[in-house]
Amino acid sequence: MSRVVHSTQDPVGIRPPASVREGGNLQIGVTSGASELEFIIPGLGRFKVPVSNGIAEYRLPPTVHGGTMIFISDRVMPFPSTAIVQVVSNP
Amino acid sequence: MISTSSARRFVPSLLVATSMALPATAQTRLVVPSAATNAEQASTSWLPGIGFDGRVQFIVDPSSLVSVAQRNLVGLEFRHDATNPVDLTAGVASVVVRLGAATTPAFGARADLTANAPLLTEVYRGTLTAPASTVPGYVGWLDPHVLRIVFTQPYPYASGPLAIELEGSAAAHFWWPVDAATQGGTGGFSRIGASCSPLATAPGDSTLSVRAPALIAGGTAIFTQDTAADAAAILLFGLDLFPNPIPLASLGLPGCSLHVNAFAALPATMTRVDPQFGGLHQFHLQIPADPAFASAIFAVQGLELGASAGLATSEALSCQIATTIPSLGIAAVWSIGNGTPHVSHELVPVIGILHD
Repeated sequence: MSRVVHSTQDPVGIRPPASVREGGNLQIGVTSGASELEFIIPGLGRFKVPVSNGIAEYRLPPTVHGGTMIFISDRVMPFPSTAIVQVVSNP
Repeated sequence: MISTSSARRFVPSLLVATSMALPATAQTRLVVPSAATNAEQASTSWLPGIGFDGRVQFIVDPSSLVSVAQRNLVGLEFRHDATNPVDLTAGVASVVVRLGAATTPAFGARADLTANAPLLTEVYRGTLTAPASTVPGYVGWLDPHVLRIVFTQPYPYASGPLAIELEGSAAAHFWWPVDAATQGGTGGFSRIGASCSPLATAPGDSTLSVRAPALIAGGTAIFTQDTAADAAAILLFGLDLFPNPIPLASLGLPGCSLHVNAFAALPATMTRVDPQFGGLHQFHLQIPADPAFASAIFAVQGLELGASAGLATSEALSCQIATTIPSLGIAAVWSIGNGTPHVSHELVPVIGILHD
C-alpha cells in the first residue's frame, strides 16, 4: 500500500530567485538530486526543465507577461521542494 | 530524526565540540572518492540537517580506506559546491554521526540501514555549524567553505568496509549544497507512446519519469508518476514491449494504449498530493547488486486510477541498466524524513575523512 506523506517538512532542495523579468533567464540551484524540475506557468502549461550540474535554466518566452506566477517543484519525495517565482514587467 | 528536546540536551557538549574544531591545515584528510581530492566534481548534493531532516549512510569500500587502516578517524568534512550559483547561508543543524563496520561493500549496499551496519558507534552528537560562504569557484578545503564535524570520540578503523551514518535535523533548513561526485557510464531510457493522463494536455506531455543515472546495478531506480490529485497509481513492469501497442479505447480509455508486456504491477512506495501539481507517486525498484544485471533492459508504464477522471495510462519507458557496475568506491543510502530508504551509487557527496 502506498504511503501518503503528510509531513510539513520543507526542505531547501531548490533555490530560485524571488522574481524574474519578462523574457529573462531563470536560473535555479538544485541540491535535491532531481534531474528535472517541473514548471507550471498559467497560460503556458506544465512542462519539465532539465537539471545540469545542479542548475536548471529556463528562458521565459515573450508570451509570459509581468504579474504571472510560475510554480516550480523538484518532485523529489517524500518532501518535494516547491517555489513560486513572480514575473515582473520590464521598465 | 532528532527531537528538539533531545537537541537541547546536547547543546553544552556541542558547544565544546564545535569549539574544538581545528583549522583545516591541522588534520590529515582522506578524500572519498579519491578522484575528488583536489578537483571540483560534476554535481551537488544536500545533507541531513541542512536541506532536509533524515539520515544518510555511506558505505565505503576498504580499497578507498587503505591509508587510514589501523588509524583513528577523528572527523568529517564536506566542501561547498562550486557550481552553485547562489551564496551559501550560515545555519545550524543538530547532527549525530555514527561509524561502524559495514556488512557489505559499497556494491551490495541495501536500502536497509540496519542490515548494512547493525552495530554502529556514536562518535559525535551536537551542532553542525555551517559558515556563510560566497561563491568564489573551486577553493578546495579552505575555510569558510567547508562543513566540519570533529568527533568527540575518535573511531579506531581497522579494516574492511566502513559505514558512516549522518543523522540531522534543523528548526529551519538552509542553503548549503555540498560538492558531489557522479558515476560515469550510467543507464538510460526512451519514451514510448504518449500519456493519456488528464495532466497531459499537449502533445509530448509526459507523466512518468526516472532518473537515468540511477539505472545502475545495485542502485534504486526511482520512478515518478504524475496523476490527477485524486488518483491512485500502479506501475506495470515487464521485460519487453508489445510489438504493436494495444489500444484501450474499447475499455473506455480513448487515446490510451498498453505498451508494456507486463508480468508485475508495483504499488507506489510513496504518494503525495500537491495543490498545484496534483498527485505525485514514487516507485522504488531495487536493481540487484549483481554484474549480470549490467546492460539488462526492462520496460515500465504507469496506470492512473482516478476517482473523477477514470482510468488512464502514462507513456511507457524502455529502460536500460548501465553497462558498467558502480566504481566510486562508496554508496549512499538515503532516508529522507519518514520516506523509504534508497541506494545511490550514481551520486555521492565528496567526503573528507579526518584522521590522526
